[in-house]
Amino acid sequence: MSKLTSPSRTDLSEALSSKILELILLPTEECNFRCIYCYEDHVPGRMSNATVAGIKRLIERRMDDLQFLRLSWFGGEPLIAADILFEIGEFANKQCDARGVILAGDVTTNGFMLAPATMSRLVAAKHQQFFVSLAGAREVHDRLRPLVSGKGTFDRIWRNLTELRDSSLDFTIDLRLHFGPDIIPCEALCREVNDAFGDDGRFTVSLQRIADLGGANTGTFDTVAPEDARAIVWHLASLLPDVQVSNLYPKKHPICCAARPNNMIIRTDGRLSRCACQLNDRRNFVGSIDADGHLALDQKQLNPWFKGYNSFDGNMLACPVNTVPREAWPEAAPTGLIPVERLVGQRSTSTVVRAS
Amino acid sequence: MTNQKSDQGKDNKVGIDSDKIELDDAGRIKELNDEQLEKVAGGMRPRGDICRIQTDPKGCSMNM
Repeated sequence: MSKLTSPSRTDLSEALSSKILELILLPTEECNFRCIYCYEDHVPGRMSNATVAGIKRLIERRMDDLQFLRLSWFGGEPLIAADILFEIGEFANKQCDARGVILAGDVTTNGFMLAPATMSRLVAAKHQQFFVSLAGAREVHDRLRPLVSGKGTFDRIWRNLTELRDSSLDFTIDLRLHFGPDIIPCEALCREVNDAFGDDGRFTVSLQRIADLGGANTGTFDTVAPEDARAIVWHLASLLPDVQVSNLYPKKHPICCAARPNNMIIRTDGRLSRCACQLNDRRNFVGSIDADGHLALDQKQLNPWFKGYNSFDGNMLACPVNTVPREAWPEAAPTGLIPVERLVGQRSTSTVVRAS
Repeated sequence: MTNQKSDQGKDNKVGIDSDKIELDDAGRIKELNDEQLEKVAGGMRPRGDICRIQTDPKGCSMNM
C-alpha cells in the first residue's frame, strides 16, 4: 500500500485561489533545435493575432480580481517569436502596474537567442526568470542539442550566458544540466559552470536526467532510471560547490501546473491544454480562447485533471496525467478536428478547431 | 462542495469534490469563494510572497 502524502495547505490554497492566474504561453511550437531526446513535434507556425488579442483581453478582464499574474513562456522555442513575448509581456506589465497586481514572467528557452538586448527588454517587463538547458560539455551538447541544420549550439549559448553574467541586468537563470547514463560529459560541464558562474548568485543549476517522453527518437537513446537519478544528482552537485543546485532538495509534494485550476496552457492556435509534456495527448485538449479573451472550456475534459483534490492525494496532484483515464476522451485524433460541440460555450465563429 | 475525509491519516484533511471545480469563461474558479477556500485549505491564505510560485513546465516530476 503506498504511503499517503498530501501537499501543504498553503500550496493547496494557492492552487485553488482565483486571485492567482498562471498562463503557460506557447507563442510558437517550432524550434530551431533538434535535440535528440525532444518529445515535441515542432509544428510550424506562430501564435495567431486572434490568440494574442484574446490573451491580452483575458489579462485585462482579470485585473479586478487578481493579486498575482504569472506568464510562463514555453514552446517550441519561444524566443523565435520574441515579438509576441514583448507584445503580451509589455501589455501585461502596464496593466499590472496600473492595477497593483504582481507580475512575474519566466521563459523556458534553449538560450541560443537569449542575447543581452532581448533579456534587457524582457527584464523591463518583469520577465526575470529563465530556464536554459545544456547537455554536457561542448562536444556532447552539440551532438545532443544541434540546430535544425545539424550545426552545434554550445558556443553561442555559452557566449550569451557569459555576456549576461557580465551585464548588470536583474535576472535569474536556472541552468538545466541534463545527464544520461554516461555522466562524464556532465561532470565536465559542471566544472565549467562552477568556474564561469560560481560567483554570480543570479545563476543556479538544476541537474536533470534525460527522459524519454516520446517524440521522433523515442526508444533510440539510453536514459538513467529515475530511481538511480538521485545519487547522480548528489554526485554532480559535489562538483558545483559555488553554485546553488535548485533541485538538490526537491519539494516533497508539489502540485503540478496541470493540476492547478488557476493555471492553463494556451497553445499557438488558441487551444487550452493542461500538460506541457503530453502536448498531443487527446486528454489534453480542454477548450479554447477566442479573440475577446473568453475561454470555452469543456468541463468533462477538464475535471479529470483535478481528481487529486478529492482526497488531496499527493501523487495525483504531482502528476495528474498518469491518473487521467484514457477512455474518457473524445475520438478526435490529435491531428484531426475537435467537434465544436465538445467546446462548451464556444464563442468562436468557426465550427471546428483544427488540432494541428 | 466540501466533504470531510475521515481516512486521511492524522491530520484529517478535507477533500474537494473535483467534479465541482468549475471555471468560468475568464478562468476564475466558480463557487470556491474566499470563505470556502478558507474552509477547505484549513484557514491558510495565499502567502504574501506568492512571487515564489514557479510554473516551470519542464521542471515537473515526469522529467525528474
